[in-house]
Amino acid sequence: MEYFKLSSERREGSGKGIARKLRQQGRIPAVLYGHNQEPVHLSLAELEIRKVLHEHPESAIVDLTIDGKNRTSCNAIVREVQRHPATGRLLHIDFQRIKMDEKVRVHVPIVLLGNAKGVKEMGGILEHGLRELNITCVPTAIPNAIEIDVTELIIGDSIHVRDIVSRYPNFDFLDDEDTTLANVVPPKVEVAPVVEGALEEPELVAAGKEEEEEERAREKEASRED
Amino acid sequence: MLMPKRVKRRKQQRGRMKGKATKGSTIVFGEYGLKALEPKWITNRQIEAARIAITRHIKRAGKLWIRIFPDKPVTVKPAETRMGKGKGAPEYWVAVVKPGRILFELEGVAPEIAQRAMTLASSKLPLKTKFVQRKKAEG
Repeated sequence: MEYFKLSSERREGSGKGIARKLRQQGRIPAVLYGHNQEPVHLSLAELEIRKVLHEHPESAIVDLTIDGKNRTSCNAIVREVQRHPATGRLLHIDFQRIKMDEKVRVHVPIVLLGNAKGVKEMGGILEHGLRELNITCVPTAIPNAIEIDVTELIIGDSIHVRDIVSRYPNFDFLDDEDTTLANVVPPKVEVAPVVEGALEEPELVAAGKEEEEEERAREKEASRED
Repeated sequence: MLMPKRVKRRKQQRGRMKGKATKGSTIVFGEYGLKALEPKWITNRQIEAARIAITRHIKRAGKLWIRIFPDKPVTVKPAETRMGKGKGAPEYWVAVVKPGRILFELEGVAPEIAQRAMTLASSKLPLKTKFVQRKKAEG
């Protein structure tokens, strides 16, 4: 379990105008919710939160201090991080309050350890199935990652969720037990690209067919007139 | 080359490419990706050229995903034709790409090879791109 401290300020008002002004000042809008309490609108220093998110997994527990009229602090987890689609800049963060003795649902990344036999000796390709596992556990038991040893996998072998459930008795796995986590597949033979001359036309869906045929006939007539 | 098997209409209006990509802007399948930084139409020939550049460089070692599909027909009027007399004939297919869209994803190769493969692919495409990588989880 990773743990880090973060300070935030209560923010007055909400909406895109206020959020944009905050971002211009180098602060990121955020919200804290959960446990049947009123949600609190916050803002965080962008540099600090960027550093923290880079160094710690997103499933880490945050000791969140809220400055303002009444200085308070609480334990929370990062529930959602919104980023700009093109630049990747942080836009907004959701925090969820947690109690240290109450189970929470978290996404934990999967790390594949070792070099699979099927890849090293047989030239296969190691495929990831899931990248993250959905689990519930008490916050103190949240792992940074779930490690899976793949060194013994040969071509055609796979590891499923059911194979690792017994290793973690304290977790409730929410993913289907038959979900594949990793498998080794034979190398793909590249199909030679088809050299095409004129553009083939795709088939038309029946609904629009008659209309399209009429249109084509009209086009032909128009070209004849030219 | 990529194109739809069946379509409802042979011709489409051109449309506009306002805004950023709201879907398909994160790496979902692989480890590395190529992200578009500009809005542009990418033709099926350009996608194919980029795909070949990547597969040749990685020597078929990894796995590649193409995250865009050219489902928009582009019509062209014949040369030296007077204006009017209706819309031209469908000539090629394009994928409408907005900034932030992941174009290709790659897995199962070293980061340096992936980066070089994506650079080669980028040189076949008509828009600015950047190489992106999934955040590494540490055990």
